[in-house]
Amino acid sequence: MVLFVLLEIIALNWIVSTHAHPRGIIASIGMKMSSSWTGTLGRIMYLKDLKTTNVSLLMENARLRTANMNSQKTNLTDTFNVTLNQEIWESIPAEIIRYSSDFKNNILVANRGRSSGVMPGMGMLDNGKIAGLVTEVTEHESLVLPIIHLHTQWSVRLGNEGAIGRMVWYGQGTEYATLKDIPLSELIIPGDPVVTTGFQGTFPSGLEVGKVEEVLVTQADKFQSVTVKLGADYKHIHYVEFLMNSSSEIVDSLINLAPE
Amino acid sequence: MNSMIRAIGLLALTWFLQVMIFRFGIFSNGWLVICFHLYGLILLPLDLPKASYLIIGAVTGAFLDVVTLTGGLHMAAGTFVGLMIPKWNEFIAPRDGFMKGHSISVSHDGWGRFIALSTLITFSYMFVLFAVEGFKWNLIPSACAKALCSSVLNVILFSIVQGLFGQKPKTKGPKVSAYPWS
Repeated sequence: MVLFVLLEIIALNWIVSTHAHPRGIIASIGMKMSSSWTGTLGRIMYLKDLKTTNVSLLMENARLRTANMNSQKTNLTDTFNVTLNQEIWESIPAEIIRYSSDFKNNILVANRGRSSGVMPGMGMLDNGKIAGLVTEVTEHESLVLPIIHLHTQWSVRLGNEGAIGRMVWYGQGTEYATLKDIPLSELIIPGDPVVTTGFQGTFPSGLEVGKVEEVLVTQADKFQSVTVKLGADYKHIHYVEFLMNSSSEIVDSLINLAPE
Repeated sequence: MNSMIRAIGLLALTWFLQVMIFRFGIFSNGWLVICFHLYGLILLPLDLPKASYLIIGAVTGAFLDVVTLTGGLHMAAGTFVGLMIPKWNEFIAPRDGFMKGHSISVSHDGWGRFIALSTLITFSYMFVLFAVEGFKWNLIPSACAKALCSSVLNVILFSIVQGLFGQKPKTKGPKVSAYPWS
C-alpha cells in the first residue's frame, strides 16, 4: 500500500507539473488551505491576545474609575480645595489569585504587593464598590480581608447625609451584611445607598458600599439594624484595584499630635 | 520462469504496438480509446507478488507517458491497476485456484473468465485515466461512462487477439495404450 501511494504521488506530481488544469486546481486548493490555516491561526492568536487585552482594559478601567472618583471628590469639596486638594487617591490595579467565600473568615489574595506600592491598611475596590482591606503584604502579594469576614467592621453612612453605623458580617451569605447602631429615629427606605464615611482613611467618603435591602426593628432595642446588599460581587471577583491616599501620612501625623 | 519471461516479452510487444499503432486509436471525440498494452498486463502470470504488479503497471504506464507525452496519466492508471490486479485475480479464480505460473487464456479458463478479468482490469485502468485527466469531482460520472465505452472496445479487441493468437489447446497425440483392447 505504501508503494502504491508513493507511485501514485509520483504520477500525480508528474500530471500536475505537465497539465495546466490540475496545476491550477492544486494551486487553488493550496491557496484555500493556506488562507484557511492563516485565518485559523489568526483567530487562535486573537483569542490568545484577548485575555491580555481584557486585563489591560480592566486595569485601564480601574484607573479611569479612580480618576473619576477623584474628580467627583474635588467637585464636592470645592470650598475646601485649599486644605483638601492634597487628598489624591491613587489606584493600583490587581488580580485576585486566591479566594475563599464559603467560610466564616474569608480571605482574598491579590497579585500585587509591596513592590507595586501596596501597603497594609489600603482599601480594595471591586468594580468601584468597596470590597476589602489589605492586612498583610509580601513583595508581590497582598492579603485582603473582605467585608464577608466575621472579624471586620466597617464605618459606613446611610446616604450622603444619613446616620453613621457599623457594618458587620454574620455569615449570612456573600451578598449581604448588617448595618448596626442606626438610631430608631432614622428614616430608612429599602434601596437607600450605603456609602463610606471616609473616617478611617482607607476609602474616600461617599464611595458606594451597597444598598439597603431590609430594615430590622426590635422594640427592645433603641437602635435598628439594616440588611445591606453589598455592591461587591464576591462570587465573581477577579480584577480589583487598591486605593492609596497619598495624603494619609499628613492626616495621621495630625492625629498623632492630638493630646491624650 | 519461462512463463514470466514470456509474459514480460508479451507486455513489451503490446506496449510497442500501443506506441507505434494504437496510440492513434482515439475515436468518438475521446470516448473510445484503445490501450492495447493492457492486454500484456492481463496476460501476466496470476501468482506474481503484489508489489510486482504495482511496479510493472507503474513502469509500463510511465514509459508510455514518456513516449506519448501524456505526463503521468498512464502511470497513475497503471499503478492503480497494479493494485487491483491481485484482487481481480482472486475474484475470478476457480475454487481450487490457478496453477503456479498460469496466465489467463481462453483455452484453459474459458471466455467467461477471460472477458471478466479483461473487463475489470480495463475498466479500472480507463476509469482512473479519464478521472485523473478530468481532475474534477463533477467529471467522475463522465469518466465512468467513458471508461465503460472504452472498456467494451478494448475487451472486444483483446478477445479478437486472444482468439487469433492465444494459446491453443494441446493437440491430442497418438493414442498409446498398454491395453490393446482400449
